Amino acid sequence: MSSIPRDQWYVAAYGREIGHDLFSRTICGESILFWRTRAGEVTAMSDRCVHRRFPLSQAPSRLVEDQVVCGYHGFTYGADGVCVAVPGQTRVPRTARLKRYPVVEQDSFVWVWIGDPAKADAARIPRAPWLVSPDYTTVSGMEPLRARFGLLVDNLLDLSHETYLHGGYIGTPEVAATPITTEVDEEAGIVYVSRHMDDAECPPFYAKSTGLTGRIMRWQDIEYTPPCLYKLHSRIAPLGVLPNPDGSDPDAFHVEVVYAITPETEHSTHDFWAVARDFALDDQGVSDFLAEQNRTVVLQDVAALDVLERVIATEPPGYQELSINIDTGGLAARRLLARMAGQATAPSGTAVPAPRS
Amino acid sequence: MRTLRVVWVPGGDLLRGICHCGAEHVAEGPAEIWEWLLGHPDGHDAAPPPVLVAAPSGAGAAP
Ligand code: FES
Ligand SMILES: [Fe+2]
Ligand SMILES: [Zn+2]
Repeated sequence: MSSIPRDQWYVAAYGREIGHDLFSRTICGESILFWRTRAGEVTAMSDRCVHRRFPLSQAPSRLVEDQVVCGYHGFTYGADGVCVAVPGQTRVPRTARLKRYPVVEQDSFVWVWIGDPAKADAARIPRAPWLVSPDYTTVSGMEPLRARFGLLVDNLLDLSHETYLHGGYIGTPEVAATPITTEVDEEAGIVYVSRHMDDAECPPFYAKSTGLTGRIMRWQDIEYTPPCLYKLHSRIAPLGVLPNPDGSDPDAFHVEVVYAITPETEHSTHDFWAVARDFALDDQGVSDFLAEQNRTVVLQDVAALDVLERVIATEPPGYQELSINIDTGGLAARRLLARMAGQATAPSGTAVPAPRS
Repeated sequence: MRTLRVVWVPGGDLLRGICHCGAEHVAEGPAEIWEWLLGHPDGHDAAPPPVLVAAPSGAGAAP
């Protein structure tokens, strides 16, 4: 049984990736064709011609105005996926239409609904407003991961790995050493994991971007809305500097680290990452530094998870993992994902009882 | 809002699970804590945990 939840919104691309060109990406095992119409709307439909399934993103398939012409025998489709012309005959079979996908462009992402289109509710898409806010400057990217998406969820829900895997970038001894608080909002289906380091070493990622030297307060507040959107609210401040009682926090630096975790297949993932900051807004040097640093950190995770995927894919069944306190959030996320995927138990042998109310 | 909460008990390695019903349970690892939280209402007594006193010998089996 698939571990990929259906009837869910997933990030398929950044809006900037899709122009008036044919663009294809596999999301949850489905090959999807995207393009932007002349009116500026993103369309999403199956990337397989209904005739002999030639990929419509594949040359010599091409876009003519707002119609895509299959490069094999010329079936022609409108932006709604309906076939409007076939070669050699005037009658177009009534069933000749490409599967369409509900699509929403929001917060710099192109979200696509995987599942029953009748259930698609755009209001349920989780938000990441910083990525398009004028009060923040954002750098972002996407790295392909040759590992199942659950491994990236595990990775992001337990940041204690920063100390070991990302030492010299974002890891310092305090991350692994500081206790966490975990919360699950059962109704909204959100996992929160907080780690507040009140006296910590400042890693290069934050030292060079904020200019803070010496020890700092470093708060990590994770908010994961399964299956796709992960947000790390990161607060960096001089020692002893707290937010004001009214919530304002002018003397701290805020970084919103956003990941979209989109399964490509059962064993591969699109790892979208974005770093939005509320300081040094116009400093291109800071942007370049954070983009280069975060991409390096993501690639460190990718290298580790690619190895882990090969280990898991080739091991005999029944391996028993051992979980400790740092895994509290990861286990909560696994349970929500298993529930969404219609599984009674989470992957990797962690028994999770079905929820009762 | 139905929130389940797990806090790391300060100064040690124990986790404390706090159910939306108010019941609390302390355990050694996250698997046990989630099992208890998700087992609500089994074994969830919203009253504060009783102060443990040594049971006189010969008393009935502990609950
Ligand atoms: S495969 Fe597309 S027209 Fe034949
Ligand atoms: Fe990482
Ligand atoms: Zn309870």
